[in-house]
Amino acid sequence: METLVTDVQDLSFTYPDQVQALKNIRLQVSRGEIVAIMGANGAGKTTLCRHLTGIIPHVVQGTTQGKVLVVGMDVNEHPVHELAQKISFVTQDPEGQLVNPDVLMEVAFGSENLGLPREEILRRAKWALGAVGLQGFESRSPMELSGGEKQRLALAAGLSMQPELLVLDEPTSQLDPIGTTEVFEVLVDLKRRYNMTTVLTTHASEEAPTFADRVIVLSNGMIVAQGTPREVFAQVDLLDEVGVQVPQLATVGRTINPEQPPPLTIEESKKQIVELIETKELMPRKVSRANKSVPKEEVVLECMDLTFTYPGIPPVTALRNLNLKVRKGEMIGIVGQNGSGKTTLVKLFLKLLTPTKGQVFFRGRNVKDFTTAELATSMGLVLQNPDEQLFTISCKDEVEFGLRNLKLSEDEINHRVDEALGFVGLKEQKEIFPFRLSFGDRRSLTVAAVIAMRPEIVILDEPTTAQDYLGRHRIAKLAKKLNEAGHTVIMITHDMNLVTQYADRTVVMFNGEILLDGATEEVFAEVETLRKAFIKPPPVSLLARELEPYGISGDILTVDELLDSLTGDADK
Amino acid sequence: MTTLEYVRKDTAVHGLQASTKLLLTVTSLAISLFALDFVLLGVWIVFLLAWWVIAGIEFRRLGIILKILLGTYIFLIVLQGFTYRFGSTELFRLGVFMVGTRNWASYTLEGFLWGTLIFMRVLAVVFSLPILTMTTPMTKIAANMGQMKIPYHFTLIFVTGIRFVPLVFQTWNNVLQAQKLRGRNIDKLPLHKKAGVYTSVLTPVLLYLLKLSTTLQTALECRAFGAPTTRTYLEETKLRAGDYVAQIGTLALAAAMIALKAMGYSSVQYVIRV
Repeated sequence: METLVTDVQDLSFTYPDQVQALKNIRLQVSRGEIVAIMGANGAGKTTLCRHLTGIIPHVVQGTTQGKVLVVGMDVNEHPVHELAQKISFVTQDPEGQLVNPDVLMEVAFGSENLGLPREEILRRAKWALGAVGLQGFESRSPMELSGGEKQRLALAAGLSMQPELLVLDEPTSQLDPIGTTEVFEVLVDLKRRYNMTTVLTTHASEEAPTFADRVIVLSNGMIVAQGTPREVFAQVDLLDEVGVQVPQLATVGRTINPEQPPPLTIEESKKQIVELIETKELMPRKVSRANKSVPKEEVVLECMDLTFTYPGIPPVTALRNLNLKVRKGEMIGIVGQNGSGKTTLVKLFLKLLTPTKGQVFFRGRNVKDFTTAELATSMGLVLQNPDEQLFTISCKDEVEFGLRNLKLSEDEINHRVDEALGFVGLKEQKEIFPFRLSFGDRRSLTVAAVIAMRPEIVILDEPTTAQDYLGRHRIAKLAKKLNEAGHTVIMITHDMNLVTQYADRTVVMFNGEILLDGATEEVFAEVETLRKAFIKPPPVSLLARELEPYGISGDILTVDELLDSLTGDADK
Repeated sequence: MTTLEYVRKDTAVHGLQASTKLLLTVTSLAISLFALDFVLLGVWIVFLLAWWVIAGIEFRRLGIILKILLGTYIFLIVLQGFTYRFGSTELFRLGVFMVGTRNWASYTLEGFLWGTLIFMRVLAVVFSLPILTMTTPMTKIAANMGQMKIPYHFTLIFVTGIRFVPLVFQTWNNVLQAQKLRGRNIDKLPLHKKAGVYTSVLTPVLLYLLKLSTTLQTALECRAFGAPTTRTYLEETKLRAGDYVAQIGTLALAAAMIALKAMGYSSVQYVIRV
């Protein structure tokens, strides 16, 4: 008989502000299972994780009905530190989880608390750092790491405890694509080697079929679908309705043959399409893409031989002799491995950092001649962590702040506040204290605060982290809309689906240098070079390359382009 | 707050156990209490600065500490100059403000010297802190405190408290940076307006830190902090020859100075009556 690791019985939960986050949840997880919990922002995923780890009711208060039994313990009756001997929880915000002076001690902390032998602690720490790609970082201070590296470290700290149940709340939201795949491979490896049970929340629809035994979909606090990835991702309409991204290959499969279960791997998808081509049900054709070549407009931003080294022992060089020209009206995606220098680069644009060597020019003038605030009226920058960018008592005040610095009229301020909050779907939350919003909504609010200022250049540093499918596309569409209205847009992201869909030009960074720079379709044709930068093209792009011998363009980047090529109608 | 943060270096002081450096801090406190004398405190401060040199701590940090403490010094010499009860050698007067037989508007040499001596007492303790915190990782301090049977809860409060100090400054800078990114031209504001900006920054900083402290608590508990187990310390805490030499040297010098003071030694004959 399978051993139950988690038994959630009719769980309902209401936060003190009367928001009901969970409704009659019944969930059983067996030992060795990997369960992916998916759903739009606010669906109740994090609240469920908090119950599984005892954070609710011991740290976060509210009204609970029902029972949660985890590894044989009723979470109501055992304090968190007792539960933590068998359950490890990694939250989605790495910043507040790191308490030690160096990476090694951070990873060892949990095992030390468990009282494990010294040699075992060191063995586990080494293994966990290797598993998340942080080997060689042992002596670095966690404070010096990039956002993605911090998330890897928080994950390593959880993994090293090798618990009976691993609970991960969006563990890959800030990771580069190959880093994401590697983390999921680690979970599968843990299951294989230690029969470890994992419950994780994720928006990674493309990867879920590769690691999850079961997918559970939450919507408005209720389980609306559950089953194997194949069973769940076959329910395309339902997923669309509740804001969960359908994997690209499933979308293609369902469009070209609604009668068949949607394919989830490139092999399955290729087989399905080839069969339809051979039976002449599909007549593929090469499609020409709208010209996305780099415009020959004036240069608005230029970096010359830019080098930046973070002081420290040892110093860390984040950028090396980097040269880049940004032209007016471009929509640029900057991608690259965690810690490759992307954020450092955009901080140098706005003089938040001073170059160690080299120069940055804004409209031909060295940025050192401006203050950050002066630059900010022309270059709007949204940084990664929203919590460090929100400082007023309401969403409305937050958006107003920049507008008042621009000395606009009251009418204009009110108009732009409503417009910006409307763009990001927060109009109804106008008077709410920003820290009461979900992490994803706080991120949207920072975007609203910057776009309301209508800067000439909009720079978004991983604006889609922790956003659900709809939120990601809402922000990317907004960026595209700004771009079409004449703004130059620079977007740093790990979401390749967004880059391929929205960016005209892509810059790939690796180890402080630019590895590739060009039209997006040209950059994504360099699959092997991309791999070096921890970038993986979207599945549909990889599928198109496989289908090249059958008359499909190998440089296809989006689902619409592939469908157009296969059916002649992307809207089908 | 890099003045007190750990800096990884390979010096003899970095190689010592935290307990040796904790002993130095405690001894400094004892000296400041029981060896109140210009020469004795001066010798101790020079002794501490010698540790600084060996530990490779840059003297620019000395300037930062002195800058931070300058206000305290001015406050002490002003207050003591006018109020020191044994003051008799008048240096100047601001007028006449008689209370009983004493003119409280009179500034005395004894008061000035007493204020300076109290300041030296503060320096004798403050200068010992970077020797501990800048050369010892917090985990090592925690391990040594554990070895000394100090309850781990207390140790962790101490360690995370110190972890919070740079976080406060980092958060402060982040909020200022966020305001600049929304066009608030703080760099070009006159001083009095800058003060207003800093006040407005304080609230979000405090709110963020409150939130962070809850997150931190959750993170600690989720990693079995406080679990009913015997904790393992990864850091080695065994004393080596260098530790014995440093500890014996520190204790010997401190004992000699305290003994001298106890025997009535005083470097300035007319100033202090404790």
